[in-house]
Amino acid sequence: MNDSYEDRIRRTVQHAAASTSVPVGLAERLLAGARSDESVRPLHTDRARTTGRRVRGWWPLLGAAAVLALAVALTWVSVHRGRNQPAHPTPTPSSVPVSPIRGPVPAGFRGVDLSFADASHGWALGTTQCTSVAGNQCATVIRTSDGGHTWGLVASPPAAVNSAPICRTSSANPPACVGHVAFVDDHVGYLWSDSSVYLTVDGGGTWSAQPGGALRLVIARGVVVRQMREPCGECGTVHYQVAPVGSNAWRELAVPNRTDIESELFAGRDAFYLVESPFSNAVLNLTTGQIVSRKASGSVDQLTLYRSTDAARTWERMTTVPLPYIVNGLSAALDDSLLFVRYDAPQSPIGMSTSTDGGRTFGPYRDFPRPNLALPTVRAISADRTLAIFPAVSGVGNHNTTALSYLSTDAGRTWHLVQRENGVDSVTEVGMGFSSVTNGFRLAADQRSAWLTTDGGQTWIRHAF
Amino acid sequence: MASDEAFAAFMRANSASLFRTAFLLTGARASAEDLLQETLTRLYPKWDVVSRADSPIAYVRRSLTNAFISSGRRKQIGTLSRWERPDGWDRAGDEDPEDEVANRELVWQLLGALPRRQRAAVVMRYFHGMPDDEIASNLGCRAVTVRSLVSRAVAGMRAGSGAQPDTNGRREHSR
Repeated sequence: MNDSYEDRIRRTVQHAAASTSVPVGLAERLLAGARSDESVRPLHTDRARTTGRRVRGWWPLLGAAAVLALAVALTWVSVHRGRNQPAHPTPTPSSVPVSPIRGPVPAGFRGVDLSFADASHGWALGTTQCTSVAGNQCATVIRTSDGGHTWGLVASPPAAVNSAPICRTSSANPPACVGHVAFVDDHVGYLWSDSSVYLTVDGGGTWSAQPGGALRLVIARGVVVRQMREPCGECGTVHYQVAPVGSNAWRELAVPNRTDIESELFAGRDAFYLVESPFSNAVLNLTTGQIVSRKASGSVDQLTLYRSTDAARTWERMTTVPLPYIVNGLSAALDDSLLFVRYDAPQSPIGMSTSTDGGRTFGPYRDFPRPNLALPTVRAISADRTLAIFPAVSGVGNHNTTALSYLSTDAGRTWHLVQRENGVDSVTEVGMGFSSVTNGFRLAADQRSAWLTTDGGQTWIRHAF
Repeated sequence: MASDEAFAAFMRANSASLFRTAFLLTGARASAEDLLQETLTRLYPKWDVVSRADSPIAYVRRSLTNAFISSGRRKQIGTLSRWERPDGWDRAGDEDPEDEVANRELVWQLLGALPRRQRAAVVMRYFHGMPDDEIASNLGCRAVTVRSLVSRAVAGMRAGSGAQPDTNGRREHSR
């Protein structure tokens, strides 16, 4: 056919649009959804989407009684919204303009954590030399809005970064410290450490200190859940708080697990997970493969997984796994599949299995590649796609390690090496993640750049800060 | 409430068109409806502002596109896993030659594999027929960026289909 490829695209999209039938009753459903949401405006939650899902999910039941059933559905939605999402006084983040960039990335900036809300919008928490904070290592936040091509400075709270010596030693007048960053969208984000939490609703233009800190802070279904320990060293019990995303209305959260140990807390797309394990405090030496665990007094040799799919209001016990082997990690992918990583002994095969039913059952055990005796840092991307990064010692001294990244796209059946990064000090999960199945990020070893992928981890491109 | 009535009238007149746009962006009817619902839920409280815009439909379309591009990890997963053919896809194409149907299927799937901003630019260019400056306004970027997005999208899709570069001398971003 003597036409351009553009013409093919034009014909295809126009054909697709023309051949797409519009759902019956769409306008009325959309109207009802918008009106019913007005009484409890969302705070960048996925409630607006769930409206459509709930109503659409009932659509087959409507049949000839569409009008009556729709009224019932809307009543149901309205009632459940009101109960599930308590009102709070924080301004709607979407109504707040995103703050402008304040200037170029400071000289000497070194990233310590990285977060991307989507393919374009990313933030790096790092440190720069300063005189305004005790220890002279100021927490500094930079932002990109074009997928990492350009970065600029935004505001930072008056805090040091966790890596600063003053944050790791006793001090008469310790500064606030932060070590992690997570953004939900282009407006709402958090900085936190075990002693401090800061919230922004304008993309990093202003930060408000939240009471307390966070051992872990995870986000799903429009709420943020944090795990906390009272500031009394190891003596305090662990407790949990929840708040709507972007809100400072924290409230205590009832959880089913023990509170004398730090359970793993993580989230997938729509669910929160708690893993109660005596090995939660395990310390892994990724170079040698040795594990040092601090088995909590009175703990049992099993792993218990709990899941919440209603924004942490109720929890369901999903499974209890006996522990003849050592758990290296249990994490959720973006599609809410779960990845269970285990190994039996430092020199035996490392394996993974996947659950696609929220952790009730797990699939067959698949071996990881084993380029050396080191243990990998593993990132679940989806039920089929997993990234495993192995440290390989290549010399002596600091930054003597090469990170070998292996990707599997078939649930662990086969693996292939996708990236090799030299000069690494250590491989950790900090600064690594995926905002979608295709878009991933990882803080580079030099701490002055980010590795980004837009093809699900197949290829990685370095973007300098 | 006057703005509510105006909103309702607007929706009844334009929901079909907006749904088709959302479907081209998300590639799935369910996701399209979700995206549309999310967009309209956000716009409803300020409908008096929207209705005073020079072109309310353009305002809503811009919001729809931005919601699609900036939506977070959750929806992106759903979109990727559910790129589907329109329900009337085969019926409407019966009169086309077989190779045209095959090409169309491939182009449709390649469209679904594009990054979001590129896909949005392609939809605005080839479905709505927008000029570059209008697409740029919608995407919040410069016209030269639009040309780059479209050019990369077309090149990527062409490479994915195994088609040869155009030889008739036309630029891909000739608008």
